[in-house]
Amino acid sequence: MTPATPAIEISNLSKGFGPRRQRNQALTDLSLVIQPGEIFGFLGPNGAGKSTTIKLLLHFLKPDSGNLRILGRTVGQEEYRHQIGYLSEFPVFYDHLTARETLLLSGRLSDMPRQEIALRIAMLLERMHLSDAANRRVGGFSKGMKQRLGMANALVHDPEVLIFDEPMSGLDPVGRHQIKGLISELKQQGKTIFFSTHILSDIETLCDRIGVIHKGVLLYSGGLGNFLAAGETLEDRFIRIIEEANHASVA
Amino acid sequence: MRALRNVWFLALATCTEGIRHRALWAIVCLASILTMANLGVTTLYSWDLGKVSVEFGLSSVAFTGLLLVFFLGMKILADDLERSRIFMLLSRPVSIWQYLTGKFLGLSMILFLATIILGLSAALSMRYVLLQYAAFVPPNFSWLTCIMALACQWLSLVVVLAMSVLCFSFAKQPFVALLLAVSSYLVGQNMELLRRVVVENPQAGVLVGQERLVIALSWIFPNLSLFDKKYAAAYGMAFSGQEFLLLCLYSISYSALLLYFSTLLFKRKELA
Amino acid sequence: MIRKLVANFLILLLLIGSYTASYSALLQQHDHARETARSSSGSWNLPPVMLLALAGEFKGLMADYLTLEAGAQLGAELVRTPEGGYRTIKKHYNWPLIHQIFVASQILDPSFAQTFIVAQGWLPWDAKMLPETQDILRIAANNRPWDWQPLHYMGFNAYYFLNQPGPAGKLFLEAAKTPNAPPFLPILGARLAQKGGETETAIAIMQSMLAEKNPEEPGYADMLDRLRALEGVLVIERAANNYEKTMGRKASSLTELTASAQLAALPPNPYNLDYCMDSAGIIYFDRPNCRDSAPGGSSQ
Repeated sequence: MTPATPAIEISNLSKGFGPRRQRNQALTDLSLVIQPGEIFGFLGPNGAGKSTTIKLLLHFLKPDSGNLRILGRTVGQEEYRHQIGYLSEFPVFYDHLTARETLLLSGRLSDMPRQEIALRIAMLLERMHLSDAANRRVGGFSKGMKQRLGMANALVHDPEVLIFDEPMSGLDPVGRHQIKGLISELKQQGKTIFFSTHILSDIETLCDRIGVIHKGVLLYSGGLGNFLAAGETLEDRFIRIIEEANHASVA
Repeated sequence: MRALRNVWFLALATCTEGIRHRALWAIVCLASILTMANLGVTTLYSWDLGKVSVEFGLSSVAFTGLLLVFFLGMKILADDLERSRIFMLLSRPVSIWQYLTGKFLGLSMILFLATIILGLSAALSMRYVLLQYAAFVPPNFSWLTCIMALACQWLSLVVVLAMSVLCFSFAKQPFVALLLAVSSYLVGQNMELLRRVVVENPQAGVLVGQERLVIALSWIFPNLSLFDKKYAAAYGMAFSGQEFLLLCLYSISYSALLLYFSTLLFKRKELA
Repeated sequence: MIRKLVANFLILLLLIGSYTASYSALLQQHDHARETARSSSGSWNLPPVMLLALAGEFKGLMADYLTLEAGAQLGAELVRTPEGGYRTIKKHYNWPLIHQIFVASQILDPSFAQTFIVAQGWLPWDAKMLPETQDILRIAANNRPWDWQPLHYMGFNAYYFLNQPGPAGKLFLEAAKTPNAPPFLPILGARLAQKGGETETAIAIMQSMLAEKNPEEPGYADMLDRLRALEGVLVIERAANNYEKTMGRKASSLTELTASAQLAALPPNPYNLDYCMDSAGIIYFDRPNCRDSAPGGSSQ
């Protein structure tokens, strides 16, 4: 029985910024495997390298070394973007296009048939509670509306793999509840979701597996159950692992 | 086929975004008022009023077009990078060349629209002046020549836009890209002059003996003075359809070349 | 509330007052400085190449501006009086500066009519800059092949200022070749050219012009008459030259010429007037009493 192709496969990934003398090493030898249908939470403090990893997955950045594959296709060499949906931490759109026009553009660029785009847009706008604002220019949207539009934008072409960069960032409790509900629905549909966050409660609720990263180094990758010691909260365990890493680097 | 469709969708989105931008309409309104000022400016002269009117009208279009390229066009490009709007597009199956070409085409369409509006505005004021002062209309004045001059003006702006896209592709800061684009425009406007000075004048200062260098540069930088047909339109001097077609070909091929190099440079850029 | 309003109003008054006072004082100082010093620096002082480079694709516009600048330099000067009004004073013109502006305008747009017309209106007269004017006119003529005016002005200057009817006539004849040139030009040009000893040139130009004209066109018959008259004059001039070579002196009259072997008979005059030779030996086809005006001369 052949093993299923991993949805996301990161092998020995390293990335640094700046000149050689003062190189800021954002990622060091990162390796991760995410199976299809998993919800994988990528956890770490600010500046740990979460967003950098995501940008490398989307080929917005080029790695110094290492390999990235999505659904068996090598990032930067083969086309895979029709199978992924991306939500950035701060979704930015063309201010003068309407919500409908924005989704239409994304659908067209993803090579969707016309009729399918129209149906899908209507469904997503309804799902994201944006139907009333469909013909309003995005420049006038609130933060929450932009986040929901970003989610709709990521889902418009019904991709297999979803990559979210801090999807709950800046949302009010109602908004966060809506996004969590959506992620649960997507999991039931068999979608693979890779999302970065530093909100621990979301990890506990949603994730099958997690990865903990600090200063570009992967400290843990595996099930949530294995991560926590008996009676330990996720917050305590997270702080402990970070502190241990800090002490190790000083030593 | 899919690639061309992506280019078209991006061009359409860019054009829509640009058309709805307030800055565009502010510039166009101001320029329309400026072309109407033609009526007052011409009365300051006693001879060749027709030439003054035509040249003022076409110069207004040229000046406004440059404002649109350097401020609106480069702002739209820069905003894509600075505000990370480009991620929305490049997370789709859109290649760098499709993105740049689509952006370029969209901005060219905006320039075309602005040229039409300003050209009409200039033509209205020119028509009034030419009717009022019929004695001062150049003997061979032709509206066809004026339209061709306007078209050449647009082609020139398209080349300047392509240069701006190239500068944007490798410059780290948008302001640096703007400076480089403006400098390239100034060099391009004076390339023909420089070439003539060096070729015809054996005592051309520091450029003595650098004829080959200057000729080589004249092939690298665009020769924008070739597109300047204001003089011909103002004095009713016809220029041939053949020359016009060659200008179209030159503009398209040079812009395509610049876009090609822009793609190569942009691919090396770190987008985040 | 009222105190706040009053305070804001007083501050506003203070700001407007200080602005008005400072700007007014600045304007007065600027006017005074302009009375004593003329602005002689501007883009017109740049070398031609730099001027062209600076103008870029707006050469025509810049040329237009420079002619306005020339007009401003040539305009009347208004001076503020202590009573607050203005009076016009006779202006001292900086002719080299004004000439430089015309030259700069022409570098940018050599075809602009306003440049050469205004230059012609001022430079040859009070400025006594005739050679410079002729240069400006020649550039205009070369760049306005559809316009007879520049050459016409050049011809006028040659005749009026330089007292050179021959070259003046040639210029008028050259002007006459431009399309839509007025019919008087070739006739005037031929007259002057002949007066200046340029009969053969005048005949050649008239012949070339007639070759390009249709006999039905207005002025054709007049030009043909002039040509016949010039040809008659040339025959007589050649005979007079041969007489001088043979006899060692000029013929004293046309009768003496016809009596000699040099000229069998006077050629026909299309104007039905007698040819006349004055004491200087100049042949006229339209002044039969050309000797009457000369002291001691007798009519032919």
